[in-house]
Amino acid sequence: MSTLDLSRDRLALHRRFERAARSLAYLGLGLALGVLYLVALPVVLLGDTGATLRRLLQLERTSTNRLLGARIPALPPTVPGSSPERRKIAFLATKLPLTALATAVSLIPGALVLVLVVRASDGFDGSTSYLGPWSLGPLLGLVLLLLASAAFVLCAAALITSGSVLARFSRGALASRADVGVPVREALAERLGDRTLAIAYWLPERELFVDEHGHPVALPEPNSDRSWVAVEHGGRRVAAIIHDAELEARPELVEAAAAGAVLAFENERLKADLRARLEELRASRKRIVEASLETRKQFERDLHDGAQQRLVSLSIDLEVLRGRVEDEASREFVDAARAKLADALGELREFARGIHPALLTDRGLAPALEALALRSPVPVELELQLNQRPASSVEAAVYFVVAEALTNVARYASATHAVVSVTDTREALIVEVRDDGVGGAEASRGSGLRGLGDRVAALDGRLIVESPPGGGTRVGARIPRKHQAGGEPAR
Amino acid sequence: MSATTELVDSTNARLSRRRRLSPWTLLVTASFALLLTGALLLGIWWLASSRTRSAAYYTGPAARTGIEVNVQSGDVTIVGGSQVGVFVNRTDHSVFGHGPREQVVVRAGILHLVSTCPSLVVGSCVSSYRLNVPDDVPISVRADQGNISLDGYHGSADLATDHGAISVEGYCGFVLGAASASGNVTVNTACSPERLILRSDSGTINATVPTGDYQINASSSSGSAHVYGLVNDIGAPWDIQALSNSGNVTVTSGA
Repeated sequence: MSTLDLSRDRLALHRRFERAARSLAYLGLGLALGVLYLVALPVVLLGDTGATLRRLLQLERTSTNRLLGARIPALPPTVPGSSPERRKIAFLATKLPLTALATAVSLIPGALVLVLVVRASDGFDGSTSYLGPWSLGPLLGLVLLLLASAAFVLCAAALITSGSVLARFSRGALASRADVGVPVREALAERLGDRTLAIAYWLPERELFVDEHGHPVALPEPNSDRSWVAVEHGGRRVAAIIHDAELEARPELVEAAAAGAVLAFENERLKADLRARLEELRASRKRIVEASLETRKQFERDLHDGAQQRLVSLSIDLEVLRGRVEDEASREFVDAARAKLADALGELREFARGIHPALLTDRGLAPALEALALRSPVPVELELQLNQRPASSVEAAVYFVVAEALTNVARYASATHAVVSVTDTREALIVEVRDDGVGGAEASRGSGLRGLGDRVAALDGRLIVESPPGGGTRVGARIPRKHQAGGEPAR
Repeated sequence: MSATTELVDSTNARLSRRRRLSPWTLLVTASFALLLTGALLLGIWWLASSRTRSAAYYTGPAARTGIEVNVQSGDVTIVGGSQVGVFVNRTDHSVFGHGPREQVVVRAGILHLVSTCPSLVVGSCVSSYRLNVPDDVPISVRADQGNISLDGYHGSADLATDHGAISVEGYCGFVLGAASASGNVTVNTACSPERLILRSDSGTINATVPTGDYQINASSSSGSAHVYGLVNDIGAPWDIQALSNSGNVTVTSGA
């Protein structure tokens, strides 16, 4: 693991001179290759099927990648019978003059180095020559050596620059157009040759790394098969590149690749920050809905096990009392009390069902929806296709969508018939309630439908209400599959 | 802190970040600046110290048996027809205070004129000569670097230069030798010389002599050799040798 500070890079002379040497080797090889290309191009132009051109391009790609670290992606396969690309042919044709020019420009300071070293050697040998007004002696020889060192640095810089320009030129000519504008992760993975490469963006406010989707990422432990490099910009941590530990042998590749993409890193980091905030918001809303569901279940259980049981017990007591009372007036009074108690018990059960139906918790979505359909005053046709029991939050959302829709059908739609369909697909659970009523319903007006929309949205789903006047009403919801983890088969 | 101060500070901070260069860039910039400064200083000094001086003198009638001129750097022009003694016109060019040194000696009736320059890494030291010499006094001219001209001289002459051209006009005499390592040799004689020996390594040779019969040996290793309007006769009293290694050779008849 290493830390890379892009704004305070060290001199790294060894690495620079190595790059310069590789550029020099590339230029030397490039001159020979340039001659080869010029000799071979007539073959390409005289009706070659593309194989020769591809071989030449592959040769160029290999040399540029190996010597200049250009990371040119693999060439796209040749389509048999396709005509050679003019752009690539032009690139090969200009290889020799371009390389010769780059060599000449790079070697001017090199020639100066040679001249200065020879003159410095003359000075140490006690030459009788003059340099300017001074006699060429050992002292002047030292000065000339200093100047030769400066010229050597310039020569290295010229070689590095020539190499960079040629690498960019080659990349521009050889890389396929599809590689342009790819996301920063894909671009880096391609450039570094590590398909498993991942980028973790640093969110300073939360002090954690996240991936491009905003999900938290744990950096690999030391001595594992993965390694990471921190990317900093202007002294500020921006991201971490998580890569194959094998790449650690060539950290300069990672650093060079990261240096070229630091602005893209910054942009991606901001996007990841936004996605992380959205992710947190979504998770928070889901937690609220689930907490509300649990509260409802608990409330329903409390009513069922507490007040409802006591009322049932009281009803039995009244039944016993009625058997013991012989007075007709008292018996009628007890009957009236029992009737009131039965009404209260019914209302209590209806209330508890409205909070959370016990049938849904105990037996699942299909029996609960069947019960809803049976209680509806409007005839309801059920079309259920459930493969696996969804998560309780999804079941509750579907149940209450159907319950609210059927209540609206009974109250406002003046419908004669309604259809409830629940379909479990590979991507989502889709529920739909449609009727043949008067239509004209608006989701934004009723608090019931609006609340259901929020409940469905908390599960990343979407509630749709279509209700043209006179055309019936269709209430539909689509809940993505990722929230449907249940476990039991649907009954 | 006021808003204006904050704005100025933040702007300065941004600018300083933008101005911050990597150590490598600083090293390259410093190297370039060092070389550029050295070259500029040397160049300015060169221009400021560059001097051209002329001098003329008369050597007297002592040079009766020969004239030897040896110039390290500079053109030499010999004009024949002087009535008495040798007149010398010299033009010296010096830089950084390093100019040519001249030595003039008459020994056993031979005038020895030697001009030398110190070895300069930057700049040049040049001494150009124009000599008015009497006819029939044999002359020998050696130049390391410079052209040699012989104009209207009657007598024997031996001319040689390493880097430069040789030009002879209106010559009339017994033996004329002209050799250049890397320059052209052009000879135009007013009368037929007894021996004309012309050599060039990489330059062309053009000789124009009066019409007549000559023993002519004109050849070139890799160039062309032509003789126009002259009769090559092995028994002729006048001998012309014009040999070049890589230049063309032409021997032509004059009017």
